[in-house]
Amino acid sequence: MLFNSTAFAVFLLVVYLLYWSLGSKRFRLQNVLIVLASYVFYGWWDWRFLGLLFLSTLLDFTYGFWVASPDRRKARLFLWLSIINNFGILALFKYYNFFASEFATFMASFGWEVHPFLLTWGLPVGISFYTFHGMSYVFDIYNGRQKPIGNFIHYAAFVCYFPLLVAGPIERANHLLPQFLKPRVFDMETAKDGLRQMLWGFFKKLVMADGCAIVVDRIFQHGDYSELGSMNLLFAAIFFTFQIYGDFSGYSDIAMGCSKLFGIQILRNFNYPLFSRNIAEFWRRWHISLSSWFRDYLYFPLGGSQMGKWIAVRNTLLVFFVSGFWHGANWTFIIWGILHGLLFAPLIFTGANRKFTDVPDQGKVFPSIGNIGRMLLTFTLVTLLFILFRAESMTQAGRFLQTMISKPGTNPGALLLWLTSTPLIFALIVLAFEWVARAKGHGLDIASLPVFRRRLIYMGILACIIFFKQLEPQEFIYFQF
Amino acid sequence: MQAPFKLLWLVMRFIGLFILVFLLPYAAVVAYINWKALPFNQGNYYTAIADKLNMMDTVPSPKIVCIGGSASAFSVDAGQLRDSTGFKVVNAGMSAGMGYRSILTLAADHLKPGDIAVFVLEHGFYFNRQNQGNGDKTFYEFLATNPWYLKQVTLDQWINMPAFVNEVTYANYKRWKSGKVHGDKIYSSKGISNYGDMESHKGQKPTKAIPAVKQMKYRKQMSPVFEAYANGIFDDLQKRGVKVFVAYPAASATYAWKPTLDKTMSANLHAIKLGNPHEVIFNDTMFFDTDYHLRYEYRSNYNAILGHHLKNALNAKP
Repeated sequence: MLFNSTAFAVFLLVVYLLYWSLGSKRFRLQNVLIVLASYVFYGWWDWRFLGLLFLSTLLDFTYGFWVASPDRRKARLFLWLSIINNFGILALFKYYNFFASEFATFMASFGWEVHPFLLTWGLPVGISFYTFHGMSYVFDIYNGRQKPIGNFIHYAAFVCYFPLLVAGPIERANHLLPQFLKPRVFDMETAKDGLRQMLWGFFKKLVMADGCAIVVDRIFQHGDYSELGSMNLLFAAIFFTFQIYGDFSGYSDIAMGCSKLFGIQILRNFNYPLFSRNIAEFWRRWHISLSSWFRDYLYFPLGGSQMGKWIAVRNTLLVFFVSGFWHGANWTFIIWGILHGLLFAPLIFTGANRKFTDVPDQGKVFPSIGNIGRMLLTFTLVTLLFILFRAESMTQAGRFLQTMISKPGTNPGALLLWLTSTPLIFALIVLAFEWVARAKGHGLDIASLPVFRRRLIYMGILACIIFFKQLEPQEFIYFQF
Repeated sequence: MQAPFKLLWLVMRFIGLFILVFLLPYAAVVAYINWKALPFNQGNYYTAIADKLNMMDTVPSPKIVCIGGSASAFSVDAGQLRDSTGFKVVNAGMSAGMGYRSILTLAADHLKPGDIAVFVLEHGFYFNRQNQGNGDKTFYEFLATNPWYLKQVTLDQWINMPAFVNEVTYANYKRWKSGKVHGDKIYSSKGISNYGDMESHKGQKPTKAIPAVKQMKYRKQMSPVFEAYANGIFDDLQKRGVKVFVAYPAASATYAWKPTLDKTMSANLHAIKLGNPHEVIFNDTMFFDTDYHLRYEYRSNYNAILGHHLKNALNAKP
């Protein structure tokens, strides 16, 4: 079920009414409702994969007890079995075809023709997200941060909680699970803020991201980039950065806002990444739940930065490699991850990786000249690397980049068209709102404004959604991961 | 009232306020402008579509009705088809830009039991994209010119309407203020014959193929969304006693879609196919403004093939 569908609007209303009709005291029944609703939400997309979701939940729930064993050898053994199980599911459903095809290509280079059996059942939506939920539970138990849960329903509610089931944020057992173990209290101000955040998420997704998507798709799918020239390709790359930001952060805003309606706080996934002043800051602000997951469960166990700068660089590169591979079974994602790691590594040596941890230009209306330069540089680097993310193959990315560099030239008329295009105007509106709200939770955190102005803004945003949304609902990009 | 339900009440109150303060005044302005522009839209392509739908009501059944977009409007010669089949014929070719849902829904509502519907496929339907030819601006232009067809608007189209209201209303505002009648001579309603054929383009010179059209990449499979929708309509029509056929559109020899033409493209449609797509590929010089609008004087080649297949199909024992 897509957030941006009529079915979801009806679904949300029904679940909300049933949930609060049960009352806070019957939180166990509320959890049952959440599990049932989440299975309906997931099954709406493809009911055949509900069994896989259930199996994955059951496995980690069971491993939780075994990993909690006081016998550390036994605990370690089951931890590894859990890792093998979870990665086995991921490997089969997400990576098998990639490895099989790559193996066939490799063998072909020696003149041996191999025709591997390829799976045709498609990728289960959100598999990387709910698998990582389960793994965080087992890891947290192993590390003593979480005790195993005796009630399967409570645990299932944590794994399959519908707002974050298909595209995150990737939750941590020690953050989300305790909320399912106690009564939730309805707070009017939090719920209102949730609605504001959902409205903002819908605006970013339906108006900004989907508007950019049409332009980006046309240009990336164009058969002959040389006919388009540098400027068109450059704008397509910029638009893709806006698209993926609006799409994914919009989804996260809707998920967070929706969860607030149920009295449950989930992890923040974006913290205005387009205002980052270097790549390290970008990764502290972009897809935070994934970055911090890898930091806690991969980077730190490998020694983090405690064993010298070279080890820190090695660990960072490994994290970015894995992160790239997490996104998908394609060389484009892997190279994208590695290149981000290579941009990050020099910052570790210079100590600049922890330089920008504050709110940029806090208290000022406009950013300083220096920060504008830093933000533009970071934006440019991120945008260039996103070409790899968007391209379907390395060949396509190569052609795109090569043409973008080798076919310079400016057509003033076309430039004007780009600069005045609706998606760009909406992207700038989003940036302006988020710049004002950069110290707050989301771009539409305007509770402090007078009622009249607030309502005017809500109406303006609603009108934009009605008039500028694209006709066919577009899937969220991160569903494929 | 419990707090969670009070929140719902607040949301409903806000939506009510939004409708009252914004949507209702806005709708009133839009309706006023489009109503004022109606006289200046008389005689344009969209009124020609309304005329064709009207013909479907007035020509007695049984009759052959050729339904489709401009490929039907510009390539079908209803008089020639009448001579070869012996049936009365209406050319109800509209505009592919209206979207297949609009075309099929509008046409289906005007077909009567005993009628013979020949659905001329449009090139755009071969795209494997959900939104292909669905809910395009052209349909809303048609509605702005013929508001009485609002009663045939589907739920999807109502939902999509706001996205086009501004654009269509602005175009009509300009016509109203300038007092200029809208419409290209070729696409004028005055250019249609008693059969619904577009005849105002006699003597048009061939133009070079449009590069953008040549670059289009067609899928080997027809859009499954189109197929599903069309089959629903076809099944319904057949239940109502309407015979349904599918015809292939004329296409120029160098048209980019030629290599992908194969049987699978329309294999799943619940209708009898008339001939095959390879028969209706003609020289580039036989077309005018696009690679699938036949010049007036070359329509007979296409209609001879279509009439032959139609006659055989109608005479065939069930």
